[in-house]
Amino acid sequence: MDPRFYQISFLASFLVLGVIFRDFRLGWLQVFVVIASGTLTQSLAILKFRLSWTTLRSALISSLGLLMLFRTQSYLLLGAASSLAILSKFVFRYRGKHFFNPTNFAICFFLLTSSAVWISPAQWGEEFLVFAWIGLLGILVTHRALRNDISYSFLGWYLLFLFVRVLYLGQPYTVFFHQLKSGSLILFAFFMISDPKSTPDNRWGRIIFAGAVAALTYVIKFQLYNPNALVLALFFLSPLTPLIDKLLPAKRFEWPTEKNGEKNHASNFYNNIYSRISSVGVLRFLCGQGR
Amino acid sequence: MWGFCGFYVAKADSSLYNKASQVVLVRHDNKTALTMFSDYQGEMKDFALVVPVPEVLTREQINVADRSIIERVDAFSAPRLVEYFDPNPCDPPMVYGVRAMKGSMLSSAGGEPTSNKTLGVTIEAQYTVGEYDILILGAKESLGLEKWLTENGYKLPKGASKAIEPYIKQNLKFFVAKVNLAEQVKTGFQYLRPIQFAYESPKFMLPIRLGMVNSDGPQDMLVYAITKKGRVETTNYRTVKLPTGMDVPLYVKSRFSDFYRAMFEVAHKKENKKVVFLEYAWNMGWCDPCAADPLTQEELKKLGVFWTEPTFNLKSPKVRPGIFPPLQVQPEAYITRLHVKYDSENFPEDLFFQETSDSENFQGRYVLRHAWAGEMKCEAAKGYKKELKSRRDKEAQVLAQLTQWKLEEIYKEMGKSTEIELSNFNESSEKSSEKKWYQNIFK
Repeated sequence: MDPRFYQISFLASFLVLGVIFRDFRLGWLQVFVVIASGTLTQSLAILKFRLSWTTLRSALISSLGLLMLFRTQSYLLLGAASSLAILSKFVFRYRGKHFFNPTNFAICFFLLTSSAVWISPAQWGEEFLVFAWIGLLGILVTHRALRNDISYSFLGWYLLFLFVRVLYLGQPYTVFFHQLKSGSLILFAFFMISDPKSTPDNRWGRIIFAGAVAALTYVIKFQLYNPNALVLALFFLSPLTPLIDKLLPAKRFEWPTEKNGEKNHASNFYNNIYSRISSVGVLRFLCGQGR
Repeated sequence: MWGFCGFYVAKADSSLYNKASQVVLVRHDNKTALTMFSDYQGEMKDFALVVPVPEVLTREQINVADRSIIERVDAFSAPRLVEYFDPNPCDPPMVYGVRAMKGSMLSSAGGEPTSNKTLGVTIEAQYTVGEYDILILGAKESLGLEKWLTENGYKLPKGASKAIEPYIKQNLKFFVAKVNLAEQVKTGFQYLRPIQFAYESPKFMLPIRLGMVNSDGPQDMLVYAITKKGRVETTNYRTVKLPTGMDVPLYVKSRFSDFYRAMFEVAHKKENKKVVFLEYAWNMGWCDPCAADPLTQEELKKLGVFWTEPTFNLKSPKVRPGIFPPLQVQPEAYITRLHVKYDSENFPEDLFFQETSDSENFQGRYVLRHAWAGEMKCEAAKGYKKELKSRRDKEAQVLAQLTQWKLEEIYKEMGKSTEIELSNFNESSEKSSEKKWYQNIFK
């Protein structure tokens, strides 16, 4: 199965919980505007470039990402951002590969050019993290193909910087844990910088890229005191992706639907699940024997 | 105990506690004007305040303001109680009357320094402003500063140097104020007036960590942020709206402060004590209902609103570019009232803020609905009676939920007024049913 379904269901449930239990200032109309605008733009691109209709899944992920992060009072801006996110994929390309994460591009474009938008970095609070980690673990276990090395690498670098700062300033360690417990950080690490389509293809390239993003985030946050450091750092460094790909070439990422065709992959997936179930059965059997 | 964004140090052994602290943060671009006020209750000679500041402040950057200006902001933005009076259910619908009542949650009670280079402490500047003697200190290391302050007669709370260290490492200066007794007598006030200072810095924050050093428990602080564009929120703690808009029993009118405190306490616990509460967010040009009149241009200026010219912000979502921009006689100012109850465990970091472009109005507002007290002669009156009863029940439940007061006690308190309401009602409806058919004809 296409891992994007996991992403969509995770993002959607996270969003619904956020709207119910957190005040996200989101109404149904906003949800409709963003999703409609995003999918419409993608549909036009599908028709124009004769792409597969399965790419609508990616568009939906971009729209959900926008709904989670992007805040404005203007419906026009919401629609424009959603459309721009998709358009960026077709405009900023190098050798057939887009290098901006669509959601990131739209958010940063409007953050930098308009005073009518904002991001609420603290909107998740700390309690949501349990849910976030559970959801993420589910995704990570099921889909190793998603190039999660960039997420780990980014978190590793960034947490290292945070930790060194706390040590240097002589702050209590609780400061470090408080900074760590940021829902925005986890979403960024696993749903934005992890975008396999727009990040470097080579593993080492991704690790270096993640380190650069972590370092720039640190500078923007702690030297320039901008609360939107995470998304801005990725935005400014994304144009490096083509360069890294040139220096460290590797196989381009493709969604399973683009690779082997849906059916073939689906059967792989079920085989995979089946083997997992049977290994659980074996474990149970062994435990039973042990008793 | 209540705290402040700096800490107080004592010159004697008397325990120093500041009961309530309020901070007005006026900010646009990187320019900030800060007004700090707290109800210091101890001896004037024992008062001392240490606040980290981003730069060496000149004399012109420091001021002493009147307490009344803080009271005005508090009154304007305080959670409020609104009263509505039911119309006669027998009359056609009419517009409700509105009366606002202010519900301010805070009761408004009211040495020669020597430089020592070996300690790494430098006196960057010193001034006397109003009743305060002010020093701006630079320090190379926290132990040196701690020693310097101790040697100069300040008694520091335990753990002070540990709390100071991060600020020194970030190259901040220290604003140290104590009371000049002779000057204080001249002011004729029995209290200390708010200190103000203005500075330019990209940091939009309040250093609350120092304030935790000399306190035994959680501290309350009200932050009134005044900006040009829209609502202010914290970026490293979740900002949550205070529960608002509920109908509450009539007796809350006489116990509004208790109600407010209990409700805040319940909400605070419900959010695991880790959030900042939004109590008010509004354009300062108007209010509805008004707990107090909006601040005048003069008053805004006193608080440090430096963009004095009226602005016509076409980017504001309320204003459509086109025919006429709205006429504004005062500078565009948006106020956000944040209430934070913090302690060292749940607020390990200072408060960092950002201004959003969200100009949606929000207020802490609780509604009292008085029953129709006059005579009612119609069928609709019966329905009204039933509705009134269930309305009162619901109000009691809402109150119990908001404050965790016991339902029986609420009913007991409500009892008197509700009984009177219902008995009035019974009499009038009984009277009307007892009337003979002809009484209405020959009236």
